[in-house]
Amino acid sequence: MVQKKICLMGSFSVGKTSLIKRFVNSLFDDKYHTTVGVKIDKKEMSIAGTDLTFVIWDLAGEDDFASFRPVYLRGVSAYIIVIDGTRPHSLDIALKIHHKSQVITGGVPVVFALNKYDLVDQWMLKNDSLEVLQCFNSPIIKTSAKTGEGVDDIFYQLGLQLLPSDSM
Amino acid sequence: MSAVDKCFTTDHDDRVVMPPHSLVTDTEDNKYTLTSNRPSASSQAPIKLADNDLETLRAILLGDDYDELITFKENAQNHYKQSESIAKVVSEALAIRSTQDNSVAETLAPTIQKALTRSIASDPKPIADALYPVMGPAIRKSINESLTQMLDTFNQLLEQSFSLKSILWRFDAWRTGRSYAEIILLKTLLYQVEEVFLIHHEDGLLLQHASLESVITQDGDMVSGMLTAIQDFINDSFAVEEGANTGLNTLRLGELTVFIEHGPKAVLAAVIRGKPPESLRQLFASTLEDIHRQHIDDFNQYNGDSSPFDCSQPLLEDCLKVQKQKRKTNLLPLFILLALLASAAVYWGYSKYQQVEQQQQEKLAEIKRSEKEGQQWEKVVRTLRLESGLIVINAEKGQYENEIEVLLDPLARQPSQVVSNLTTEKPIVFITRPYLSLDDAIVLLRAKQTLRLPAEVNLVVENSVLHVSGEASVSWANYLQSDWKQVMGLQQLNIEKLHTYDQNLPVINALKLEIERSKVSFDKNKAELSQIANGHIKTVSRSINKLIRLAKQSNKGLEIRLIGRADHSGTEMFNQQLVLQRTVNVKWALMLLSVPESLFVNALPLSKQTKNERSVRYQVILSDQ
Repeated sequence: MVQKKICLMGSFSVGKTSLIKRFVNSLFDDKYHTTVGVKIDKKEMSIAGTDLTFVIWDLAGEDDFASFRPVYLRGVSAYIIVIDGTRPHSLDIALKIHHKSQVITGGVPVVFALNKYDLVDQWMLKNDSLEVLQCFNSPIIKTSAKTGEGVDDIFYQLGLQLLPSDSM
Repeated sequence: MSAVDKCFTTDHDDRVVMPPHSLVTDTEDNKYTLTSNRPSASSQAPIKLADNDLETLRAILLGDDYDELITFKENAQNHYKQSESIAKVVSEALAIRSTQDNSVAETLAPTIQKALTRSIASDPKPIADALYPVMGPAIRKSINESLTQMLDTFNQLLEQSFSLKSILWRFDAWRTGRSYAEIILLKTLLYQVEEVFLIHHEDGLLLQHASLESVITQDGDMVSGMLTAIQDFINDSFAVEEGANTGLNTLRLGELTVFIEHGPKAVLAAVIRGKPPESLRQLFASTLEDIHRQHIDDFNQYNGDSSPFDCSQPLLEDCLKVQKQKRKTNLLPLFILLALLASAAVYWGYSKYQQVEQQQQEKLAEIKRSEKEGQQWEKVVRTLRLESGLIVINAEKGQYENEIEVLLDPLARQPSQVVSNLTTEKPIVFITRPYLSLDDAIVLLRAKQTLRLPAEVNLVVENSVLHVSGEASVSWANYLQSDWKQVMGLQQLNIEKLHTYDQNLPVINALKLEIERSKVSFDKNKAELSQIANGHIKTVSRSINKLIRLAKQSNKGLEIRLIGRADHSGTEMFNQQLVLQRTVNVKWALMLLSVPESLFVNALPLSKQTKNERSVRYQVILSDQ
């Protein structure tokens, strides 16, 4: 059993904790609970015949006031950056986080999650702004913690990137 | 050596013979030639001739050694090659020199010092990591020593204290070879290490986890992640400098304490319930050091796979210490129970011992008894055989009781009575059959029983002869003589020593007197018996009959003579007739009252009337037969 530390980051209230809850427990709750500090969850997955255990560090959401704590990224194998499709500002923060994280981690795999896809009609993210993300050449997945759409795919994509080359 | 000398000499000579101008050229040329190819140098025109000549000369002088010399020269002037050749011998050279004097160490010391200083200044972590396995034990050792000193002082203070508990603790100290203070510390602590996590220092992933079986544990992966996150948060928040042995050491939450030991590659976190002693940290630290030592490669190659660390599980399990403080109150019932059990066991053992002892004694006693029993049995039979009036006809020993069959005279003692003062192991059953014994003792008893023995008479039976002594009435003597043969077993009677006397004589004399004093009175001229006279005769007849019986008993002859009288009136004839009539009437009256006629003797003729009375009197005549 191979364990991997995964960090989940993004602006506050983008749905990081809800995504984890959906992924780990298949549950969704409309109520908003803000995460303080960090919350740890675990999920086992089998990808391409390899058993992986994701130890997921759900970091507190960030904004212009809450500072990013790079210490949590120590030893991380990959990270997920969650963006709220209904709030374009969350993309800006995501980009900042991604930049810092790449520097700290030395370029570990990343997956971008465009969350709240169930509210796609309220999305305010324009396609050209998403082009910025595509430059990073990392998976960008539209997700909804409410419907569960794309949630497993995030971790599947992550897993694929984390698998040792010989097992691919 | 000579070759090298020659090389340098040649070189030197070479330079000396060169003109200054060509020296530079030559030097440069030489350099070029040496670094590339020597024959190419000879192709240069200005020195070609001289060179050739020199070459020829050198060839003549040095022969085959010349090429080697050139190679040496090249090597000596080329830094890389020189380094390469020195590298081959440098360590050996240092080793040889070190054996000769201390110059190597002296020369290197400042350099190493500077190198270390620079290394630590630039990045202390590698040095710290390298020293970690060494420093840990060293520091602990030093701490232990200072602690020991402190405990010694503490000990001296405590030496004075004295109580039951302290005595027990002192005993424990003596038994375990620890100091008294240490025992006190141990005894007053109460804790249990419930879980131990081995966590990767870098990513906070769980490498190994051990827990007590009785403890309900949370998901180790998540707990270790959270622990790491907390540490990271604290380190980040309080700007603690990161490195080995820094970071959060202890977490406390109610009864739970988490001890966290940091190593360069991994963290050991122990969840402890109760009051853990600081000495536990030493255990955790040394465990962590051991793990580091054993898994250096595993740590370096770690990619999220914790399976290489599975073999550290026993080390972690060793950390799951449980220290229980014994509570007096809770132990009291246990002590009582133990005491009861112990006493029961002792009692059981004792009774068992006694039982065995008793069995042994019984066996011994059995042997003695069987001996004794044999003796006793013989004694019983012998005693019975000696008893008069009792004949043993059969004596048998049985398993549970003995049986003796005897012939028993009715007058003899019962056999059980005979042996009543003798003890026998088994009860004896007597079967008696009646018989008449001719033993003197029994015959005597029989004689005494049969013969109505007067008090003054003694009987002795000897060889079937009855010897009678003492005093007895004549009647009894008569009775004896007539009846002694009725006593079975008597052959002969001896009454030589029996004195007889007549016991009836006084009565006879009294009766005689009474009869002779009485008289039957008649009216004048009458011979008929009056009523009074009849009453009188009746009384006398009773006395006469009694006298008859007694006289017969005493072998006396008895006769009664009736003496009639008349008053002086009347004629003698008439009086004689009257007297006769009167006498006959009395005689008849007495005969009617059972007095036999033979008793009466003829009345004496009235020759002379002496008394003037109208009567009949009695004269009793007794005679020895």
